[in-house]
Amino acid sequence: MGFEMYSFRNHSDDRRCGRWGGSITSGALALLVAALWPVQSVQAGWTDPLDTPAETASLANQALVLDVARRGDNLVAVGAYGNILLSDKAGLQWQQASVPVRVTLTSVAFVDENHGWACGHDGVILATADGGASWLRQFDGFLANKAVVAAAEQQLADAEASLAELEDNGDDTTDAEALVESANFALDDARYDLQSGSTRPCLDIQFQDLNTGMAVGAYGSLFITHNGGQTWEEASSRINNPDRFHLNFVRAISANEWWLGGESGLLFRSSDAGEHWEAVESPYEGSLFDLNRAGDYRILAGLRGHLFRLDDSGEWQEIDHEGDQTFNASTSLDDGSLLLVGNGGALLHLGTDGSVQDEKTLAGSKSMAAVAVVNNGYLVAGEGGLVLVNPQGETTDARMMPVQESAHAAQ
Amino acid sequence: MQPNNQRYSEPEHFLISPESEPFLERLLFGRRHVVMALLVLITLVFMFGLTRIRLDSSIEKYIPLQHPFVQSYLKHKDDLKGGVASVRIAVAARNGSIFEASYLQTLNKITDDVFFIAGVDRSALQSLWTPNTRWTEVTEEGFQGGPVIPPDYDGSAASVETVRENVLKSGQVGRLVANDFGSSIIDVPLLAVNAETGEKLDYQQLSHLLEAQVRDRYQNEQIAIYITGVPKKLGDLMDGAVAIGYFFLAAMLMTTALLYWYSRCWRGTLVPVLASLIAVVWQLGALALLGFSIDLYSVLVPFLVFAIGISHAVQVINSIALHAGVGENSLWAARKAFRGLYVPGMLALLSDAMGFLTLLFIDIGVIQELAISASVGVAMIIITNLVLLPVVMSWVGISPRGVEHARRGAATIPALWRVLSGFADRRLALPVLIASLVLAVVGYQYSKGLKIGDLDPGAPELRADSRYNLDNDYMVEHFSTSSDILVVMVETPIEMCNSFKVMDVMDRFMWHMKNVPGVQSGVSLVSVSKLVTKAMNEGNIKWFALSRNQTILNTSVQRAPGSLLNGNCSMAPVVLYLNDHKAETLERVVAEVQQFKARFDDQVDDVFFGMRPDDIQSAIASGKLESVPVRFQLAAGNAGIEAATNEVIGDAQNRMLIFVYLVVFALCLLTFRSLPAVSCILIPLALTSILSQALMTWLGIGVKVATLPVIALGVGIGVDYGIYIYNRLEAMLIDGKNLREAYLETLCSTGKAVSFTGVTLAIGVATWIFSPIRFQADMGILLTFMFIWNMLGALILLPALTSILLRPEHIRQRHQRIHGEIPPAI
Repeated sequence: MGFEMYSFRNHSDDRRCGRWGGSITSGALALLVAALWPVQSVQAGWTDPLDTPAETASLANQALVLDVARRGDNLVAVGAYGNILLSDKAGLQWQQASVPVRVTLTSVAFVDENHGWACGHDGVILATADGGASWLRQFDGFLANKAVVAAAEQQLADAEASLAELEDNGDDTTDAEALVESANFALDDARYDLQSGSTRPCLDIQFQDLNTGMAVGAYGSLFITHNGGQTWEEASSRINNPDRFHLNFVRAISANEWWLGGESGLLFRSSDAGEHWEAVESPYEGSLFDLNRAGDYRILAGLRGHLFRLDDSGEWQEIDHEGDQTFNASTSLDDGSLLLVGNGGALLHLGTDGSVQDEKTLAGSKSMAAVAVVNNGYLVAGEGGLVLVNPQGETTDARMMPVQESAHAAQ
Repeated sequence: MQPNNQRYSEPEHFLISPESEPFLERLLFGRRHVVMALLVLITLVFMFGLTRIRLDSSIEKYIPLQHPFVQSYLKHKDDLKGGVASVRIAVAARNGSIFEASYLQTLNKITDDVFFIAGVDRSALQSLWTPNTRWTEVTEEGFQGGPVIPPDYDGSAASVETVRENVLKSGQVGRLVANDFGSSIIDVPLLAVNAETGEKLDYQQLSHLLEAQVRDRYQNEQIAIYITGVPKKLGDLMDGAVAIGYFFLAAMLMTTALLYWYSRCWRGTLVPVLASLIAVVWQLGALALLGFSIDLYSVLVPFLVFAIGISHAVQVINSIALHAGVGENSLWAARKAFRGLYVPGMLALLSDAMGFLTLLFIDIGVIQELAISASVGVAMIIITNLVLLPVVMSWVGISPRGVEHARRGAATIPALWRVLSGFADRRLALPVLIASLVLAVVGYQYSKGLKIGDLDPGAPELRADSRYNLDNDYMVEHFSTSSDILVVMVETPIEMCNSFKVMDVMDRFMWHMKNVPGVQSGVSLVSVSKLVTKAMNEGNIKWFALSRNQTILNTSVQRAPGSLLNGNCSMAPVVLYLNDHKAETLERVVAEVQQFKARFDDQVDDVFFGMRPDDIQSAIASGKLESVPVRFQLAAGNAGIEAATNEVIGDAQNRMLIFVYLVVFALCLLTFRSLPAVSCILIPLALTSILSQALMTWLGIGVKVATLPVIALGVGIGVDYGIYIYNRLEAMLIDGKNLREAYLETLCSTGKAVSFTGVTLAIGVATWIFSPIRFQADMGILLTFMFIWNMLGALILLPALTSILLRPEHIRQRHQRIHGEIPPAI
């Protein structure tokens, strides 16, 4: 699917309407009148959130923030209401970027100082080439729905073809019939979504370089690009997820080590940037939210604080610790150790040896969705907006740059 | 008829033609017995009316019912459950933690007791002990939840610990449980009617029940009780209104003492007091018979009626004593006093009444009732103190001692009068005028800082250190919910309040408003939907958003509290919690809502708002609509109602001031038929109006329901002094005296009465300053100030103005032209 500016609904033709006379209250009669009345009503106000720029808000730093990424030395954060916020490496003062949508953004990824992508609800994917100052919509849930329908149709055709082939050969068709059936279901669902206009939230986006990136999300959606997001390929059939569980994260540890995880212990690994995925047996049957690296270990975070480390032998070991809050995100520190943040203010530091160095609950017990290292301590983001935490664990709210300064800085 | 009576005509006024005057006088004094019998009969009827008086505590009377905000609120009143009528009881553990078996046991008992208080909406009652307070948790198996107090709770340390854990999982910290875990709240929604009696719930009685059965019974060394909520506040206010009775008694006693000191005659003291009390009886009786009830504002009217009554009675008694002093018998002293005073007296009282009636411009029930009851009361004074009083005095007369006192008083001219009379001289007048001008300019500049609305936190009707406001402070300090709530009602077609477009525009609205300074937070169906959508997705905060999938949206609001949407889902309120209810906060927030409304309200015919989803969908399909129509309606919640009240007050403020001056101007012009004369009377009043606004600014008293009437009352009553003084002064000028002499004469007779009146009136209203009800105290301060300043204005500024504006020879010529050589009545 090629890049296109997709306008969901045209609102440019605002026509004035006359007020109706009379006081007809009966629904049926009213409808009749409505049907016969030649003039259209004026409803200029509301535009679809995908077509509406994010509101400039003085409290954007206090709204829900769901991801933070590095862009070169500097930081970028995304969250509710289409808010995208930029700051230098200190993370103390933030200014709002101009964003063409006002849907909740859940994830952001940068490959260098200038090039980044963000994704969020309604399956929207945004891209920037100027360090986050301005963003362009590359993809959205409605385009995604079409792509899903097309892929589902293809899959059904393939399944039917292979069934026919098996029937022709007189082979056992049980599996093939099941495949056709599930392809039929998938197509029905995809068509329902397309018709009803419901969309699938994107939950995580990751790029390994300027060209190759992946976006995963609700109901098993998986999109891959090899051209910097100009086209997004529907790739959910590459993983075995017949129940279409949510995919919560996608992580590129390196170009040939991609991970993907989600509900019900779904865990996959790819060594060819998403062309093929192999299922990895999960040490935990609950949902998985994050995978990262601590030293040479791979650390896997699941629901209710379950943490596992994978060593060279390929064995998962559960990491014993106190809290039972879900960890949502993590960031690698300079020394190779890992800092995890999660619900209810949970914060945990894992050493390079995969052992717990520190565990605490931040003041306010707010849930956190992202963490980044800043000059003196780290920046956490979540329910409480953007909050700076010093090495002693004391918190201060990050600030918005005054408007004049923001405007100046934007120039 | 004695021959010398023919000599007198009325002074230079035209309200009643000279010919009618002897007729009125003859009518009243010729058949004294009949008049007296009639007046006694009327008094008996009104005394019967007194038995019908009742105190009214309905909230509706205090709000501007015609304001569009209030209209919208009333339209959705039944759907905004618990919006107004709910009481919150905080039960605090003095040792600092609610997680103690003894505390939880007490809380349980209180919850049970409150449950059985009549008028409590038992199904919606909420505390830690009620089954509707639940915790939820996400586990591998999905949702888990249960009541915060587990079914197997046994008071053991382990089960108390379970309660603690459940509270943390319940999301009630800051709402039902204090942020510091030192107290928890029993939320008590009330029904509109007392289910046991079927009558409207009596808030005063409820307030007493809560005090007796909750605070008195459970507050001790371990437990502290705090109670807030509009019904409780109204109950406390009603209690405060009862205290007003004692102030009335105090004012009456002080006035009586002063009056005796003034007249040195018991007859001349008790008859005016009695006549004024009868005016009060007539006023209250008449209103009760008209079906009015007493409220927190009209409870003050008897003071005014009594004080105004006394002030006019003093003029009458003063005049009778003076006439008796020159040898008239009781009857003729009374008749002559009547003849000389009934025109200025009636004019003054009519100005009062008309001034009060201008309060009708304020579209708020209590103020309009205040206007009516005060004007009725003042009209009653015309009969009781200008007719009944002289008629009674024509029998009883002034005692010889009183007559002697008056004669001696008239014979000697106090030094003060000599000094004051100097103001009628241009040499002294000029500095007075300049000083007044400076005061006016400075006062005007200063009064630009005058604010509309309530300026203090808490319940502004009560004092900052009142029990209620202390309780309210505790709530604000320990819980996260503000007590200042603005509710915006979002109207949609039937069953469409949770359609995606509506929810999205509400979400947008809430975020927009959240960024407006003064808005703390907001709650609506959108908040619930996001929360539940998140919870349905394993508590993953990336799902804290609205879903575009209508099935998910429906599920997410399935268990939303009934207060966040109405029965057929055609209205969903957005509740905004504000920092305070200062007028500027309200104005800013309301202006933002209006702007948003202007942008996002769908200008479609009302008919669409009565439609069902299928019809709306086909209207959209056929292009009649672009999307589900939605509109934002201001406003409910205490802040919403207050914003409406402020708007009404702001609109009425200048209109009322203009009208009250127009009325007084017209009446004075009609009587004195001279613009310079009217200017002399009105300019001192205007100075007082300006200075009282400056005083309000200085004292931090805003223009509000309680203080706006004061402006009208102050002008209406204040004009009396000017009228009496000017009336007398003019008569003296016609008599041939020069200005200074004429003014000295005026001071010796009327001036004495005016200064006495100013002091009496001021004392009457000054007692209000001690009222437990804040706005009554504010009114007391302002009225005391206005009465004193009006008196000073009439005694100092008025003569100074006359020395510049009046031409005594013109007055004399005109009088001659009309009445020939007949001198005016004195």
